Amino acid sequence: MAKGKRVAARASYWRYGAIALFALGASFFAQGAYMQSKAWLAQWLIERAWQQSLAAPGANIPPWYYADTHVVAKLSVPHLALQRFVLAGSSGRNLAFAPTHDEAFGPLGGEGASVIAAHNDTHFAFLRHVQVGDELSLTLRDGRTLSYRIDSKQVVHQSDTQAAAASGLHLVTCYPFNSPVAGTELRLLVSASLISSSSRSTTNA
Amino acid sequence: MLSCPNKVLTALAVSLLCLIFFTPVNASAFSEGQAQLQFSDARGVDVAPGVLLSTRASMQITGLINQVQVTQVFVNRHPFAVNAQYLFPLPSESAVHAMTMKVGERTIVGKIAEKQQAERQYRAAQRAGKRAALVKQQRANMFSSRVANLGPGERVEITLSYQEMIRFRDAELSVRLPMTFTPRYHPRSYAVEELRATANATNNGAQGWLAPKFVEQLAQQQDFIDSSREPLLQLDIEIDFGLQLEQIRTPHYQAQVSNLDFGRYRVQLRDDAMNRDFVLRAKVSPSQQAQAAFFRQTAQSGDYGLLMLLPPSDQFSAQQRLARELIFVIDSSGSMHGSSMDAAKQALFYALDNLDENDSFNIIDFDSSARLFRPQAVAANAFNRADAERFVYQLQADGGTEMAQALDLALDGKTHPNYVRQVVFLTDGSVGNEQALFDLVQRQLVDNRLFTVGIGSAPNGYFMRRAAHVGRGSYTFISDGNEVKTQMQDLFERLQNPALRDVRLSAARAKELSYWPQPLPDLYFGEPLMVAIKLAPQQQDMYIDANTQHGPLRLTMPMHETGQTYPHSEAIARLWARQQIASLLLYNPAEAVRPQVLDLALKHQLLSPFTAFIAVEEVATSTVAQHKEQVANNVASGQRVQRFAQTDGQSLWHLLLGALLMLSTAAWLRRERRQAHG
Repeated sequence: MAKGKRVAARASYWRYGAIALFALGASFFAQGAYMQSKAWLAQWLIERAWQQSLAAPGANIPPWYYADTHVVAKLSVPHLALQRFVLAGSSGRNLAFAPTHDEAFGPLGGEGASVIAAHNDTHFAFLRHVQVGDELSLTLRDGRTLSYRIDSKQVVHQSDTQAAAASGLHLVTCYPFNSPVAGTELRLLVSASLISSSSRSTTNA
Repeated sequence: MLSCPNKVLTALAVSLLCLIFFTPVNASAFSEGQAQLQFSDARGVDVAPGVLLSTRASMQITGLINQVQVTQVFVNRHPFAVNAQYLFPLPSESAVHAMTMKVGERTIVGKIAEKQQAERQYRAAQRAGKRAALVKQQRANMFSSRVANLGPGERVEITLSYQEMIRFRDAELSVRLPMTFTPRYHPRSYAVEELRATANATNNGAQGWLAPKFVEQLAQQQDFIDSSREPLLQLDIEIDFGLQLEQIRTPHYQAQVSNLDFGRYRVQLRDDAMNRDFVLRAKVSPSQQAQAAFFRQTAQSGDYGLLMLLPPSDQFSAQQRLARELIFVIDSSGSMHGSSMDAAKQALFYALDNLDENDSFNIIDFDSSARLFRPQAVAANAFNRADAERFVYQLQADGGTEMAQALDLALDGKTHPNYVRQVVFLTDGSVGNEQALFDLVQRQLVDNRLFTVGIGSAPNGYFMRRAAHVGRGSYTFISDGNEVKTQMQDLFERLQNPALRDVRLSAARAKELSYWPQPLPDLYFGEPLMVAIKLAPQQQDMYIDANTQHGPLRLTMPMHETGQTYPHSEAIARLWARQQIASLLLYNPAEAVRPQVLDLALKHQLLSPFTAFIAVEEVATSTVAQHKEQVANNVASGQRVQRFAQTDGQSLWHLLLGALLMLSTAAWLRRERRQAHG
């Protein structure tokens, strides 16, 4: 009888341990799911803001009422059939919601170099699949659509910002992909140069 | 039924293996990243940094002029020849008038030449395997030196000589030697031409522009190559001011000061920290302070005079206090992050505390865009000041430096007959489009006055001085929190006392005098007039005219008796030419005044945007270098190297690990329950 009790007690310790582990797993899962859903749900809200800002060029429309940023462009990759809405300013908070335009570099669609950065597990996870020669297109709020062709894909150090000095569009994300350790110092830099630019008259969508 | 827990156990084992397996893989990628930082250029294209550079500077401060020799010692530690290049700052008003190159025991005197011609000579020497040196002015306070075909183990010294007027204000003399740069921000509205030039600054050949290359630990990096190297900076200053000085201070640097003789001092410094401007300040006791000093000398091209004049202080007092509107503009861009932002905020808190109840004020905060504290200036009552303090408190340093928008808001382009409108501009000036901003200031100034406050350990001094000159105000530097109080006190003294305006020089019975800078800046309380003049052979008495609060003021400089002869020949002539070049470039498009500037620069042997110093060996004795290397600049104190955003996410790992843990523990619990029941 006593022995049976001890066994039962030991079994319940194991059970508490398992429940604790389950809770830990649930919190990990929730955290991951939160990051993912934040990233993708925000894109949906930002798309709405994008439609509004096309209708009202020049107005900075926040995607949600307390946002301190605004949508600046739509990035599409035709052959992968995907599109991303880009926010202004590469702060950590903005990056959680969308690819962001790093304002320390040049303006989007300008003469110089412009940089868009995004997380490698959400919005820019696709960057591992793009190839040199692929086309990108960038639609700005003034209705212009710019086409770029990727001419280099390289891994650089985070401080090597000169690598993104050439005129064109540079997409940046952390490297390596799917690393379990945070804080890598390397970046995947996909550089594309302008091939054509079309100004399309925007209709109120 | 038993297979289910087995599957779970397998999954658990796999997930653990994944963790164990992936972690070291990533760690090795990590250390590769570190290694890249140390041994090669981050792109892996360039050769490893193996060129050491140390700087020796000696200054002789005599009277109102500081004569400086800066020697850059390049040592090649590579087993092969390299073309070395280095980008360095000098004071924005410096007149660089000589260059020599020393290879071993041979000294080659550099020649001044038109810039493109010098570049051609340099490239030819490089191809021929001759050692050569080229020094150019890339921006007003950014210079580049290049050494061609520096052989393995070799040492080449480039010595530059420059002179500058010392700064004298509030009975304090100050000398500044910048050590590094704050990275420039190139805004959206930046002219296309310049942007292209910057974008193509890929360090190619003699022609291309250089972009500064920054490292965070320059001294450690050099230790790694040679632990017994010379200190990065050796500075020797001799002061012969002719007056007893009080408290010679060198903030942020530990210098040895010795008093040699009456009015003669020596300051020595050996340091490795090239991350902030060197500043020397010394007080002259007020009782000794001269109201005027005049030096003259005969140079090859004629007689020149240098005049320092401190207007009598009663000229600054106002009969009636005019109401003021103060507009504070604060830069909260990314380059201000850290100690600079803290210093700027402290300065603003000081200013808010010291506002008069009768004044009105407003605050403009800018980074990528500008924001107003209130749509209109408001009264400086306790309520508004407290509100403003909250506004300042919550400012965050991030984003770009779109300075034009802020200046546009601050300078309203209107006249203000009933009050004085003063704009106090706190920034590190890390902009690349200075000239466009000066044009904007000039256009919209009308009767506003612009006072610049340079914040940080390596602010853009050129911007501060020239913006204040064009804005008819004055400039101040605050390197960190410790300097806020004294510097802001001085600034408030200048803001509170009306200035002498429209200062002009003329001579009796003569045509116009040729004096520079022109127009002369407005004079604020405690500031002397400093002007270089070309004298006529029989110079008549000179008059200094200005408008004060009390009406016109005329001071006379009798010429027959005054004038000490200045020892260095050509020194004042050079200052005169340098001031003229600065004024010409400030108020005219560069291409329009190119012939005039080039002529002056060649005649007075001065470095300018259109000239360069070149020194070439007679015979080729080196191998033609196949590699090039740029010596890095240390990041300014309180700054970080510009980086790409951190964008790694572990959400997929969290999902995977979470799912595995949940599945495996759920399965185990289920099995336990089943066993207990069974």
